Amino acid sequence: MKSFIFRFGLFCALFVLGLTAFSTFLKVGQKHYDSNADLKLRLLLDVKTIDPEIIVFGSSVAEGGINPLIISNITEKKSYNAALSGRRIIDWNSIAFSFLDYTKNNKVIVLDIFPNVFNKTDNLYQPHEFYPYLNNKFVKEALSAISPTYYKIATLPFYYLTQLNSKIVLNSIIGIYDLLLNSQPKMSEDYKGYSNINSNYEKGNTSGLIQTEISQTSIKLYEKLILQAANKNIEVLFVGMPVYHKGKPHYNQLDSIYNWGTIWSKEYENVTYLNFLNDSSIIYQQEYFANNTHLNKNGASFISSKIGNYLNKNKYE
Amino acid sequence: MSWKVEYIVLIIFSTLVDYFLAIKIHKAKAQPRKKTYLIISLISNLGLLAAFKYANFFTENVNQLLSFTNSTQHFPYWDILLPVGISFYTFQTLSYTIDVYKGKISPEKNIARFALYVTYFPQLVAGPIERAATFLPELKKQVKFNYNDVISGLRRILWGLFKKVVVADRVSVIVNHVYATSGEQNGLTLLIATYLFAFQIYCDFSGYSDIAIGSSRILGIKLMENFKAPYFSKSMSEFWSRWHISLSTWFRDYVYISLGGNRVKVSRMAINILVVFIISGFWHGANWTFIVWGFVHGVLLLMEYFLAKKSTIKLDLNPTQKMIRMLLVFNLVTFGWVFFRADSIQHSLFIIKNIADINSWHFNINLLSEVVGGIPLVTMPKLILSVFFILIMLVMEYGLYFSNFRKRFFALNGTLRWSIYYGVSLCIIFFGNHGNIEFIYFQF
Repeated sequence: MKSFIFRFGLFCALFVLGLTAFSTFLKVGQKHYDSNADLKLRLLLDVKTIDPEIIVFGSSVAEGGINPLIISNITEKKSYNAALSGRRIIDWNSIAFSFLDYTKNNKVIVLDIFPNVFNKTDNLYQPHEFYPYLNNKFVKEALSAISPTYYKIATLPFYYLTQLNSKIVLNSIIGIYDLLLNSQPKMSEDYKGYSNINSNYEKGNTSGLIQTEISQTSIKLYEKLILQAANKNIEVLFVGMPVYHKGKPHYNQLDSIYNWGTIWSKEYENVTYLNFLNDSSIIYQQEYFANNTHLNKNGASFISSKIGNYLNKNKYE
Repeated sequence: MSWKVEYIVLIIFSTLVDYFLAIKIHKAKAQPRKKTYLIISLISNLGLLAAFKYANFFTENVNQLLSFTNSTQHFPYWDILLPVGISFYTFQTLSYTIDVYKGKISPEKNIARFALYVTYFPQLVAGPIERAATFLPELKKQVKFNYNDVISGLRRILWGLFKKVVVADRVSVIVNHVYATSGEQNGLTLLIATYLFAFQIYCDFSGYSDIAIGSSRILGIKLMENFKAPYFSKSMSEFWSRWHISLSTWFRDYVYISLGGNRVKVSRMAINILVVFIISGFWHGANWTFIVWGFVHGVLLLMEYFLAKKSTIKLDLNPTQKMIRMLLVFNLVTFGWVFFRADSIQHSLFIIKNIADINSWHFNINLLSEVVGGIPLVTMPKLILSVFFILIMLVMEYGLYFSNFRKRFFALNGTLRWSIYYGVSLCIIFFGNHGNIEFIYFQF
């Protein structure tokens, strides 16, 4: 019996040691992998050096559609775009709540509303970007609420290793290489989280009706975010992002979705709403769009100026 | 496979009925009385199966027949779940009562031990279906910690997990998708999925058996072997002596021999074989596909029997002949799996027809898996990796059952052996499919 306990214990200990070493390698590598999302997550969940007066959360629609440099120029306030491509509130809420937990300077949170904003999905886009932060309580909470698989990833030690693919390992190797040997990262904090979409309008596949969804999970998360912001005297500005006029018929219940901004602005004192869904100065201008829902560089400049002016007029004058 | 807390009543019922009836059978002096008790046991156990597993199948077929006669009367469907492990524990208790009736064993007096025999957790849900004659003595013996048993059990669990998670669950992604979208597939992709299913079902079920046997061995209790590298069989009869051994020997001992076995006229024996295989198919599930699967195997066995009788081929085969026969048997078995896996007879015939249409064959990796979030679940490297793991599994199984692999493995020094254990464990973690995929045989 003693011999078994010793050998089995030694076997398990060595195994756990090996897994820990490999896991650390992956996490450190992923953290330092030079991508837009990885940098944002590291700054917001790990080093926590991002604390602007105006911060944007949301999806790729906001990430490429709201330029914080323009907002800063107009308002003369620090701003940062923390929106993440391919994500909805069910997974980006962790960075927003983490930010709210530590922020001392923030005054305004800008959130995007777009056709699929309230969709709920169990299959997250690039979930591995969160793996280095599984010890963060907000990440743990957000992932656990999504599905049993993400619950296991967030709570069981090493379980995330069962979800690896070659891309994650490769990212980590590059991240470690950059950390050790490449002192000059390609991504820099100077870009303020904005992702410039430098392309002309592409129609994309909009032959049929794209089903949107208003999930109660998403609605509740937005309301939780609004309340937590109110507790810190932070204003929430919802921006109904424009949809190119020819693309609008392809989405169902657009008005109901965009109406949530109105509902919240009436219900909560700290919420205001700037809706561009039917703004004729932009929705007919093809040169502002990269596709039906995403603004390109020109569109982002236009919208960001409007947001900056609005904030200047309503908050900072 | 589903469960409800209330269904515990079924297993308690089955346990109590057979516990008391076996004692009654043993005590009864007159043969007719013994027989009456046995019939009560048969009706109780098979009645449970009929009610909870086959009721809706019968209702559906009776309703279908009624609709042919333009009758407006239809029997209602029952809203019932298939209780977990019911096919396994009813067969286990049945064999016990029959053995007591035949005087092969004495009834177990200790009700707790008998209840353990019925509900023993490693094999409760998917076997092996143990026999009282060998298993009750295992439960009676004084169990002491045995280093070799524990290590051997852990090793067996590791290998079972590899087969289940790294082979079966990986290929299940392809098989499930191709069979679910068979209308969009071509003959080649359907053929690939069918071959992969042959490995999926073997690794899924034998993987479970390995885990059950290994878990039990850690506790010091030996369970019977359920698989012995069946895909290396050189004949259909050999296949059935290597595949789901606990079930095939159950049917041999309690159905085939009861029908007369080999000691009857050839024509009667042929009918007996067909009956046994049809019942065996039906045991797997309440669907015509399983019945046809059983029938196909029965026919193949009979063909083999009659061909062997007429054949003048010498028995000792050279390696090439052995290989050819293995391949032939494997392909025949795989043909049978089409019926086992398809949703209906029409579905299986559609698949066979498409596979036979060689002109339609073309390989397209995109057909083999669904796309989630714009990303295909299966890519060429992943498919190649799955095939690689199947080959590893086959080589290992061949080594374990047909060569001195075990001896050579234990001759390795400790570091090398540990490296292999670590390697298999890491394969399970990194290359396994860790979705919520049940064992296939849980549904039976």
